[in-house]
Amino acid sequence: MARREGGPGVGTRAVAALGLLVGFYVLATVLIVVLFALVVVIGVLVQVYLHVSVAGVGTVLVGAFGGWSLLSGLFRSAKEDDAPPLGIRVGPADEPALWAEVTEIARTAGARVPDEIYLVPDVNAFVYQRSRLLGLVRGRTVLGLGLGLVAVLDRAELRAVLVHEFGHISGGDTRLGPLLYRSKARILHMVRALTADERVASRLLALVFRSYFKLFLRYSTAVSRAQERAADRASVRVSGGAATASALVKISIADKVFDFLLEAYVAPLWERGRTPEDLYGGLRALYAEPGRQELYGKVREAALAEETGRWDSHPALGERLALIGALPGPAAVPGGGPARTVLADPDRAERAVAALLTRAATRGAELAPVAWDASADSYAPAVAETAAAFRSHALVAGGRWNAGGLDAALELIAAGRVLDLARALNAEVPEDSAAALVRGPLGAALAEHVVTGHGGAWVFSWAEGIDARWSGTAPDALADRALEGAEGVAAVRAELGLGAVDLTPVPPLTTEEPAHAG
Amino acid sequence: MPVEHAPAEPALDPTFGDPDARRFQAALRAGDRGTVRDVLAAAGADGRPFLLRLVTELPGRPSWLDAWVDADGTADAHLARGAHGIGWAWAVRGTARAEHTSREQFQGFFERLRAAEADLEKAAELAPDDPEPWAQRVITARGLQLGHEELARRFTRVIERHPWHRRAHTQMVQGLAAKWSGSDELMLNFARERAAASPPGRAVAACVVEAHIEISLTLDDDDTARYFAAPAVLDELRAAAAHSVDHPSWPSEPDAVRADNLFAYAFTFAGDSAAAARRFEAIAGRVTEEPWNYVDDDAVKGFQRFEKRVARNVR
Repeated sequence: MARREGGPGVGTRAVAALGLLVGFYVLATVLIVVLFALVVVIGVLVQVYLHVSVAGVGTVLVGAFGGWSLLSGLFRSAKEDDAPPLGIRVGPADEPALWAEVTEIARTAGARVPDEIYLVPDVNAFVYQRSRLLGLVRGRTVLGLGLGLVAVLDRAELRAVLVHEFGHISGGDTRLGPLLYRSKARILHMVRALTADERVASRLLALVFRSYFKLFLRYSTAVSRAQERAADRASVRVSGGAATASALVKISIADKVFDFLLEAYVAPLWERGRTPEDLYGGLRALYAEPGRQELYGKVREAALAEETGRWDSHPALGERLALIGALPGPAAVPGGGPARTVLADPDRAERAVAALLTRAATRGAELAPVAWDASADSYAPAVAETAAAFRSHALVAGGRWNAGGLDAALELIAAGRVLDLARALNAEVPEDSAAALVRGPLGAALAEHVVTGHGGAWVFSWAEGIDARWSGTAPDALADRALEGAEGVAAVRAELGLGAVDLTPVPPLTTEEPAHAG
Repeated sequence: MPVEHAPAEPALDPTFGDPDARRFQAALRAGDRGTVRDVLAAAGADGRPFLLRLVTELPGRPSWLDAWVDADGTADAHLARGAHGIGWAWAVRGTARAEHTSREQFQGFFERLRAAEADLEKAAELAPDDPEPWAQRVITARGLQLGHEELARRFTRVIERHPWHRRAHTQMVQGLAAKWSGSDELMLNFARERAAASPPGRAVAACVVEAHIEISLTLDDDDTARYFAAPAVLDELRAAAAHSVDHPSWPSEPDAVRADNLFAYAFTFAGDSAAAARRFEAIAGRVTEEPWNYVDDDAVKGFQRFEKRVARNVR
């Protein structure tokens, strides 16, 4: 059984992991029963010998109830695991091309055709089986396809991903994978719940289970990684090494780009009661933005440099690419155009999934749709808020109530007091990070200044996000210039027509001379 | 300096026994908006903030305030309702520090404060030369956490209209204090700058004492005594007193007694019993809530304790 794909030993380890899983439930049940039987016995003894009937009965009840609640907690989580994914379920009538492709790939990979397909929001694809009987019996097979992934891949890469995913549920060594994965999540959940519980008995149980869990993990992660490798092999066999490798790399970057999109571009819109008309169009644009490719290159380098850890469920990206490169497969599989062409109406599907994601993230808030090109004004208030907070902190750091915040900030920088300024923003900031901390908010304050005082306008771009454009130097460049020191500040002041301000402390009143100077 | 007020039993009376203020307060309680309107309109630039403070302290939300705004819609109607809204907002917030204030409390606080802000904006629009809406907005800026630049902008609007507006200065000291995200340095610089710029006999110089008291609040009693007795601080207290409460041109307006209370407190801690005794004499039982509530939950008791201590020492 281990001969075909998994390499020697994997099958044995899988069986051992299954044994440990069964052992876990046995151990848990026995421990809990023993522990609480003990409590009950003590309770009864107290009642019989000390005749403290009320307290005795109470102890018995508490003991019995505690045991029951732990036991039921152990077996209960099965239902929670089984919730459908956040996504839109599509049938063969909705997405005939997708279903046809999935069916064909499943057959090629020797896996069961999924019973359900969900279009989900993120940069991810997954296949899982709904669990029955504590995960021991296989239930319905579900495919989740992330539109974030569909947005950046081409058809060949999408096929590679799907083959990989079906590799997880095809026969042979990998059959135990999903079971082990689910069981791992459940045991971890149990250990966490026990650790968080205040009762001493729970703490003791957590200690025992945690040791057991580590043992289990050593077997299960090895199995899980072997399973990933097997799935990659299947991918290469069907889709070719090039498509498999480029899909892996693209996904690892797009995943981070999507997070950045949500955090930096989408969340601020939500906060302003708006939402992007075309969320996934935004992902495509941000992913393809020429001005950010250098950064993405660095992200890829970093991902490639990572090494597989002992507890990782997946081998590191570099290791997977090396394996893929060494495997034989079809020489060149044509790209076949963007992956989203597999959807019947990709724009509509994206809108529907984006709406689902938005509702979940904003708890159903009323939001007005806005086009990316027209979104600049929606971001401006957030920049203005950052700028106002910065100026307020700068004013405090400067110590003079009537020195404007921007003036005070520039004066502090010119006087070599960047650290004082940075500490007003964040009291904990280390000295060597002071300028870096100041740069962003100072840029925001300068941007707002050129918009309100120099006829500048807010512009939106995928390269820069929100920025102020005017006839002079760009605000971020002005911030960099100012942070060079006194000379830089002088240049910035000259360009913006700002003057120096006096931040010297006001002397105390004194009886030595008349307090009123004028 | 001769004592102008007969010694009275110490009491917290926000009217300080002033007849106009008493009449105004009675009208407030009775909902007699005609009298409220007339007394407020007749008061001078230093009297109006004092009267508005009585409006702020009026408990609950009397319906006649709304009726007045609806019927007249004048600047003073909006001003009065706005000033009241500030006290009404703080009533729901409580006076605990932010970390001890619940989300619901903050919600109610901001809601009422924003309503007050709208009234005060309207008042400023209708009476562009009146410093009062801006002085009130120095307080709302702090509560609404609009930042120190906005606070400074509003205070500038006040002093463009009335350079030595007592209450605005007091509120500014609070707004610049460390507990409202400012700093001791910022607060002291403000107080010193304004005191030095003020003509003699103006309560603005008391800002310096107010700032020192604010700084001392984080200290225990022994350290507070040491703080005020330090030569540099004591000398500054004396200079501020000479420039204000001890100056021949010190006004007899009722709420100027607030400055006397502050000096009495600080001089008592500093151990300058002679200077403190002069202030207690001038106070003549007209106790203000601050600073005595810093040393006793019952401000009057705190006041009496300090007054007795000073009396023992000067005998």
